[in-house]
Amino acid sequence: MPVTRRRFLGVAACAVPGALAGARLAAGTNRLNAALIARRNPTCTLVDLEGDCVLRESLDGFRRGLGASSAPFDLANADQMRRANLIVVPGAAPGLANLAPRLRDLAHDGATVIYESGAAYAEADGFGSERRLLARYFGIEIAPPIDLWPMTPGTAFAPYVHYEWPGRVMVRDFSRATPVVGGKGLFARLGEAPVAQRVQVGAGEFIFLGSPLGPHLWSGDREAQTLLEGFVRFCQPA
Amino acid sequence: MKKSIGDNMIPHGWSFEQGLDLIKKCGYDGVELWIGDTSWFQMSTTDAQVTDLLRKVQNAGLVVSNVSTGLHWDSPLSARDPKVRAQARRIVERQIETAQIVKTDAILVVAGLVTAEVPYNEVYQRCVEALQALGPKAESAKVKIGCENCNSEQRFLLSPREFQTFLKDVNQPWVGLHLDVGNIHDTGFAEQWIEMHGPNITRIHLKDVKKHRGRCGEESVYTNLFLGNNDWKAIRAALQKVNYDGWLVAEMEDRYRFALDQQFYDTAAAIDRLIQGRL
Repeated sequence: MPVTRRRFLGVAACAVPGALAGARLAAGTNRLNAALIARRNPTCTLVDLEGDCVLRESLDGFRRGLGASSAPFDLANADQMRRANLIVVPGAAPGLANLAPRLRDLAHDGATVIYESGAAYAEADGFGSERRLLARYFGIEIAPPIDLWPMTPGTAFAPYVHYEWPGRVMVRDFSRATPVVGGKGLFARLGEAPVAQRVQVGAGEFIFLGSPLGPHLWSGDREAQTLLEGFVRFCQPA
Repeated sequence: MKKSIGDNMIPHGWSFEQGLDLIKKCGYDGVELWIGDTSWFQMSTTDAQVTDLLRKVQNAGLVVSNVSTGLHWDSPLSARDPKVRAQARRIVERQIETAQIVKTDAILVVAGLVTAEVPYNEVYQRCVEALQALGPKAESAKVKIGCENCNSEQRFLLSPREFQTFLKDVNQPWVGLHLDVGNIHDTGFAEQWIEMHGPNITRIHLKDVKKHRGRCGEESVYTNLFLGNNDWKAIRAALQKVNYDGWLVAEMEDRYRFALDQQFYDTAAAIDRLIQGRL
């Protein structure tokens, strides 16, 4: 298999802390070891998708929230993404064909990837490819985005997303959401609709957020911050 | 102080020129132009057409007091959707551009809209950031952005101290308060807003208000000058205290149902008495 410069640098970058950590890092590092490496080096990467981030204030919100959580993090664009315990991708435009396999690889190697979908805030024609990519690479099935407002009197639900993991918190909805169809690992609901799912990918996890969280971090919502800190704690070494 | 009235009050079916003639005949010094509210002044109106509006204003012996808009009610700076926010910013930019063309130095912006859907904290933060970005544009154009206190309709920045904190957070010298003395309802006293904001007041909208809860349209509690519960003597004293010598712009929400031009005369006479202190 040809080794690109980027892939070589990525492997090299991961090898340095690995070497410092001990001799267990052999050339044939398996998935378990990869996960151990990630958890011994509690790092977080916040990914700025630049033009493909459809909710810029979400990026600002995660930056603010991670800063407040005292989790060490760096900011990278999609090309600079490297392995980390936690990789946060805020406000992703739908159908990013190059991004999905890279996120899957990173999760496979032990990272927890939080993927905040911006599908509900992008042009409708991107939804089909978003659905295909999520199904293909992560086994997540999503439904078309829904408008939550204005709520119909009498049929309305309270405007909160109920998260059950990593803690039980209620965070406001964000006007539109991309529901997931079902399956294992559902951990948040908007009314009856599941809007978040976590799936095991190799040694890591892929977490799909169908209701934006970042804008609430940006506006200083305490419960959103609690949730983010829960994610961070989940990714830190025991 | 000088008196002005909005071109959106020109009776339906009248031309811009007819309206300007009436405004001049009633003794106003200027006219407030409302982008988006009249057929002659829209977002799509070209620079050349705006220049033609200025020519008509000048031909009538008037000047433009300021450029206002109601477009931010539908496209607020505080919207969650980035596309709507982008449109809201574009409206402000167009106001600034057209203010330069019509040779005035102030615009009115309804800065944010708190709703059941979009909560206060988000609205505050978005408005601060939007105005921080727009402030330098205003400064380079030498056009002041006056954020209007639409207390009850916006459900935002309800007290003068809160508004002061907001302007401090925005921290842009060319962003101030477009004070509407009729918008305070039962949440305070216009004269106290004037005292606290003094030099930060860009323009003043005049109307009276009945101090019971209500909204625009059918439930309006707005009324003509001196018919409501505003303390006009106190308002005048506060204007004197802070040395306000700018524009007083009539914004009558409640419209006459007959003899539509009469409202222009009556309002002009009331403003004259306010300016002269014959209260």
